[in-house]
Amino acid sequence: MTHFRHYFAACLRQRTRLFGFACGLEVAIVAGIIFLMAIGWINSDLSVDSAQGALVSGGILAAIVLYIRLAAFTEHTWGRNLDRLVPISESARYTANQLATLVWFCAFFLLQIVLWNLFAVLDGGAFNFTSGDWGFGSWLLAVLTLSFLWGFVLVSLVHLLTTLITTFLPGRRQKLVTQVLYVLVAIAVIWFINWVIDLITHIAGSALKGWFNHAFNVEGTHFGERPGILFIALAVFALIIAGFSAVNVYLLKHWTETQTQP
Amino acid sequence: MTDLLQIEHLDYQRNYHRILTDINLTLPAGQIVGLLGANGAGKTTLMRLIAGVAPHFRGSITVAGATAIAARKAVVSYSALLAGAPANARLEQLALFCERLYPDFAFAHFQQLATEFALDCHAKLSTLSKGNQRKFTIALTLARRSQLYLLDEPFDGIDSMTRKKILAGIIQWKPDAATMVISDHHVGDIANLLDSVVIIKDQRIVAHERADTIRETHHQSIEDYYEALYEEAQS
Repeated sequence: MTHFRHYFAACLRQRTRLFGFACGLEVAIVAGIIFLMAIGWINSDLSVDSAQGALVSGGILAAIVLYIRLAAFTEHTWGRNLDRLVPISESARYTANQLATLVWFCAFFLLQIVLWNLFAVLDGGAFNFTSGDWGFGSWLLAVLTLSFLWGFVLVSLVHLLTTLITTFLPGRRQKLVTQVLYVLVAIAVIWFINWVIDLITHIAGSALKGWFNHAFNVEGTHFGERPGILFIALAVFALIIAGFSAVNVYLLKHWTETQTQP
Repeated sequence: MTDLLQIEHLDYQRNYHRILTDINLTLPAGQIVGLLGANGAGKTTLMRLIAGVAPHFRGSITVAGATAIAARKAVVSYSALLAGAPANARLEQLALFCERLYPDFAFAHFQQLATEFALDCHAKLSTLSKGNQRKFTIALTLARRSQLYLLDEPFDGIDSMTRKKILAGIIQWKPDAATMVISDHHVGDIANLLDSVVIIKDQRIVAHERADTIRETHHQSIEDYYEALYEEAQS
């Protein structure tokens, strides 16, 4: 049997090109914007401030492209013999792939934060974080990381559910049927998630009501004074992701075949 | 002889289409078996089920005592490894991928096979001809020291000279205790290699016979025996 760390390392290696592509794309966008500024097509002075603006635009665009490409790559992994023939349990396969996808996206995201801060320093700013800022920053980073993962998990869920439904449909016009199914399943999943959130909110009632306001000082409470409720919210979010991941692993293990064509 | 592969009451259907019905098959260790059947008979599906890439079926499949899919994959080397592989990957990268992930993959053995097949390992998968892709697939499949090899139409698109080279080499490369299942449309080409043949027709195994028995008892070549079985059913 293949060891998890070997497979995880292979999953990371497979996605290196996507990360490299996103970095290249960002450089190209930033260079393009600066070039357009230099020749006067964009009405702005060439300064550290405008370069920082270009970097933010380039970073966001490249991040969107990277997110889509990583999600698509992971989705295709479930139907690839090259990956599915590796002797490892489906839960380990699923975890290694989602984790590798998340690691590369977070790496790109962190790279952006470092670059933006470097530009801020160049522009005369300084790192001056209080302990409260670090606490809030860590919490926000955790929320963002879980949100990124949540997106990847949902993309896989839509793909795996579509694959499952396709198995029970007649074999004719498979491509068209699958595309229509993708849209319908995506709508159904979004509707289901909304329904679950409504249900949780209804059941939790006053316990959860207003937690966001408390956390962000809207009602006079500072973040540092109420970290517990925020971390409970994080834990609930992580549990929901784990639940959906369990469904994905079940679908992968029992219902997902690989492609037959090379 | 120890049984390496045991399939019991295997049923498989997909898209409202029954592909295999009540398949029962036992193969001993150390054999080369020809899996024969017309197009669409279910040969590829049977191999996919044994290899563990089609998980939804009824019945049981046991390879070297392993029934769990992951454990089965550890002892089966399947030639459809490259289905869905990234086209821009270089051959060397794909071979290294296999070396890192299959504990029984022998990279030196792969290199030896690649040299013998005159493959350029720095080339991208997408630049290979159909025949060279097949050669590469065979090199990857045989580079594993597995207990069961599944070669699905391995000679499709391969020139006759290389075909002969591979056929001659299969006996040399195959570990003695391993079993090799080969499906091929050119029955005559592989007939001399085979210890037994399994014939699939109308979703079922209609014959499982030793090659010696076919020649000595039925007084037929394997090709004639196979064709006769199909003609019999048509008439």
